[in-house]
Parts: sequence; structure tokens; C-alpha cells
Amino acid sequence: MEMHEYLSNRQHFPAGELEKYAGQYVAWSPDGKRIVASSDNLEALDCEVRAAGEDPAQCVIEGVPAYDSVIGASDLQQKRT
Amino acid sequence: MKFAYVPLATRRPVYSLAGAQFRYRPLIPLQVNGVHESRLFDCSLDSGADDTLFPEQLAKILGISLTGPPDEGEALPVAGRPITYAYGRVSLRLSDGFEACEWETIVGFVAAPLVWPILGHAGFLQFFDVQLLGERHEAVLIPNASFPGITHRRPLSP
Repeated sequence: MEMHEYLSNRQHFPAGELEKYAGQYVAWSPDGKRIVASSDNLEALDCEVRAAGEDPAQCVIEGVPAYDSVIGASDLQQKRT
Repeated sequence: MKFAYVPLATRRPVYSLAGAQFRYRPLIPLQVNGVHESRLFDCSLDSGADDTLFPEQLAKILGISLTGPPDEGEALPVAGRPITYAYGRVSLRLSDGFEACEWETIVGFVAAPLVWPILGHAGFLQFFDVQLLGERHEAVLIPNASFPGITHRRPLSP
């Protein structure tokens, strides 16, 4: 993957669109333009990425917080109920 | 290396940010290499964290051997219960597309879910001089003299 391309495109992804995935991990396409898969479980995310025809090693994984504020090192996530 | 903060939308206006509806976070993509597999993860720069921590599931995916008791870490999340975590040796790679740093180090793997892996002092921040440019929403990382790995610089186009 081209990291510079990923970083540039990821930065311009609509933030509101990402909010749909609150409380989950998402896997980005290698170019950072779209979300390939999402899951609250990393192993399941791997399977979803492969099912979408992408290589999990080339897709950046990002957690989408379930809350508006995360305090320092206590990034422990609780699913939104 | 420079990394722009990542804008994340909030559900409500943030009072402490004059009603802003975004929070900008210093998240940077890091490649974690295991025995046969690797994964890229957006990780949070966290100067309040002593160790560098990843989700335990990642160790399983990458085939990383973990320590057992008594060689475990322990942390107390804010307002939370103490948690323990195992350590494992990994190879990490950080790149902004122009420069790359690769090194081996020991990080923690925690069973509790993380929003983002935590880039704390041991294993990560100790090896870099870091600037968090609040106005520019940008993090600048420069490997310091204690950096134990190798760096690559991409040739500039003519």
C-alpha cells in the first residue's frame, strides 16, 4: 500500500459516515477511500476483509469510539447500548 | 515524520471545544509484524501510558508468543478496575509515506477491548522525540538517539 495515499484519502473521508460504525473496528481499503469491513471482533474483521476480496495485511484497522470523549490512557471501549 | 490528526465527528457539540462537532486525535498507522502475518492499526499517541498496548486478539492473529505470570503488566484505567496484560516481542514499522522506521520491541497485549492501541513510553515513545502541534492538528515524530532499529527515506522526486 502507499501510505501517503492512504493518509491523504483517510483524512478526507466524511466523518459523519464513520459515525455509523461507533463501537466497532473498521478496516480501510489500502487507498483509504472506503471502508471494506467492520466488526467488534478482530478475528471476525479479518474474515470480513478476506470475504470482501482484500488482503487484511494491507488494510488499516481503526477503532471508532462509542463515546464522544476518551480519557487519556483509559481507552477501554464499552459498546454503546 | 508528520501525521495529521484524524477528525472524528461527535454526536453532540463539545462544550469544552466551544461547541465543535469534531475531535481531532493523534492517531497514527503502525504496522505490527508477527511470525508470518502483519497488520496495520491506527494507534493513539499517549504520553500518559507507560506501556505500548495492543488488543490480545491481535497476538493470536499474528502468532505472537506471550509471556505468562509473573512477567505480566498491570494497569489501572481511569475509574476502572486494574487489568493485567501479557507481553510479547514484535517488529513494528512506522511510515508517513516519505520516511519509515522499523524496530523490534516488547509490547503488551491486553484482553480488555481497546478503541485504539496505545502508543505509550515503553516500546514506542521512548524511541522518538514527539511534538503535538495543537493548532496545526499535526504530530511530528523524529527517531532519537536511542532508536534501536533502521530508518528509510524515500528518494524525493526530481
